[in-house]
Amino acid sequence: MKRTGFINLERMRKGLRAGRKPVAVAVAAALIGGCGQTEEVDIYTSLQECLQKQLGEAQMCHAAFQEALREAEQTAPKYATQADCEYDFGEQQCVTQERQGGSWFMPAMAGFMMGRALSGGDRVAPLYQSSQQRSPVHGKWVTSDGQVVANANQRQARVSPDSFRPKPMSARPLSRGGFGNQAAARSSWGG
Amino acid sequence: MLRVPIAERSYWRDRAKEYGFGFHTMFGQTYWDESAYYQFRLEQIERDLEDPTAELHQMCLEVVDRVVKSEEWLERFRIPEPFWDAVRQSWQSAEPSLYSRLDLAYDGQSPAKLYENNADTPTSLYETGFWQWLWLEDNLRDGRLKQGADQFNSLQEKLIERFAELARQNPDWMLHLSCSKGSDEDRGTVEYIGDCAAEAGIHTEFVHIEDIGHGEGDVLVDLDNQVIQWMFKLYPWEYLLREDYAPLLLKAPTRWIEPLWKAVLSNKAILPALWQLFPNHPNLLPAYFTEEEARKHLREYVRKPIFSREGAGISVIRDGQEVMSSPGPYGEEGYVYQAWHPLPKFGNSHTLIGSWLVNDQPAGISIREDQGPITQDLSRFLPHIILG
Repeated sequence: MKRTGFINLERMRKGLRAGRKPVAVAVAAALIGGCGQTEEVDIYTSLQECLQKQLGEAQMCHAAFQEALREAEQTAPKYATQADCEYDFGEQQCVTQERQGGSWFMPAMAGFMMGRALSGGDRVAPLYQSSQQRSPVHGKWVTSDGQVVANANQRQARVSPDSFRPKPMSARPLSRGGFGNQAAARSSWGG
Repeated sequence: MLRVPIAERSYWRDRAKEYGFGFHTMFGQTYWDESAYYQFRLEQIERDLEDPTAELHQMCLEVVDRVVKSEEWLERFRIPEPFWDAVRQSWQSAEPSLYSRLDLAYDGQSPAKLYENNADTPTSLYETGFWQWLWLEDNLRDGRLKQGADQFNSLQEKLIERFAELARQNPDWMLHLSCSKGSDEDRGTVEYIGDCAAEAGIHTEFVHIEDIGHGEGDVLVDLDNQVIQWMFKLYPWEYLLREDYAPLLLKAPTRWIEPLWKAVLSNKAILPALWQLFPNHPNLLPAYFTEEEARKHLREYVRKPIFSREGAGISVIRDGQEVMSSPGPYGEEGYVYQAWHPLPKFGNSHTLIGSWLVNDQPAGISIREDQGPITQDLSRFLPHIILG
């Protein structure tokens, strides 16, 4: 046969699919339960909470907390204004980051999760919460790229291993619109 | 190779809606046309189209290898000088490619002739890989086509395999998809690429070309300020290299599909370069860099802008007189000259074959028909089958 043997028609069907995400925070497809592998994680709201629950594992908690902070700094959604950040995460939930050239805003890390499986807890990711009632992630634990991992009151969860994937880094934009003017100058160019 | 009329599927417009194929009619004209199909014998497909496609592609790669090593050639290909090293590096480090489409003139008997290579931003991908596949499956199920009818079209399968291969090389990469604003057709093509990538387990995001930002630390960012590490762009390199952010391309760590070395392939200068390296190859038309040379060898030739798309800005010249032309905003970078080899006619239609490759493997064909001899962006797309 010279043609494709099988096509996943479900994926190709477009009518029922939701649109693109409008803002930085969007709820990714449900990850808890469902199909595929999952991994058990513990969620801590602070270094203290980790130290109290993981007696004798102080070093692990310290390392995990530091790593989560470091990753939060790099991957947390970044906003140009405090108002934009608070629109998604709520009042008093955002912190400023100073860089040469100006400052920007990102949600403060509200906690972190640590994988319980095999690897002795070395898989760590920062988590955030939104106090904004109308936010789709209100009352949830959410990762840097907007995946919901649990309800805010939960301290344990099953997550997709994807939740630990390195998140794309954010960078404060200095300008926009430096591409596209050649297409605008011509009515049609496709091939 | 025959053109065979067939009844349309009564429900095809609903199908199009269901699957999000929105550009089947453009500017009030039919683009997707299933009132007929083309029928090939397997031998015609394999001997006359598939094998020459693989061979032509390898020949094109040889040209790229020559061009990147020579400043004279890079100049002839109008690659801006600041990018010479980057193009060379992109080629020599074998940055992976995804796909391309060779446009061929083929009448079912004589050797297919290469019109051009759309190696950077080929469109009509969705119509080929998915929509004409669905047309065949529907018609087989409905009994309008004979059981055993096949199609030269493993495009979607191969795209997904290719993405899976790329994902294995870079397991955690997120793929950004991009095209410019205002074209449903481009948006549809990019969405299809996204579907194939997602099927291979790749996480994708979309950003319009115009919305890309320059992020702190000389990176490219999307509208959420996420760093673009890996990007599929349905936007030509020859534009990117000439726009405001062009210098940033040399610093930003973004990996591109198609890679930068495709700027050499998807350039009409490839045509005279091929003729120089492989003179008299049965699948090539004589082509030259200058009109003087063309005049010396040819009575009739086509003048094509080095950068042009969809048949825009082309002139046909016979005995020194322009006898036909298509409008188009191209030409400032110069022209190449190719022997005039009119498309075969089936009924009233001039028929052009797009022959697809995924990486270096032939992956299927698409067929475009035009009332005139120069295929343009509103040419109709017709499905095809293989029988016998």
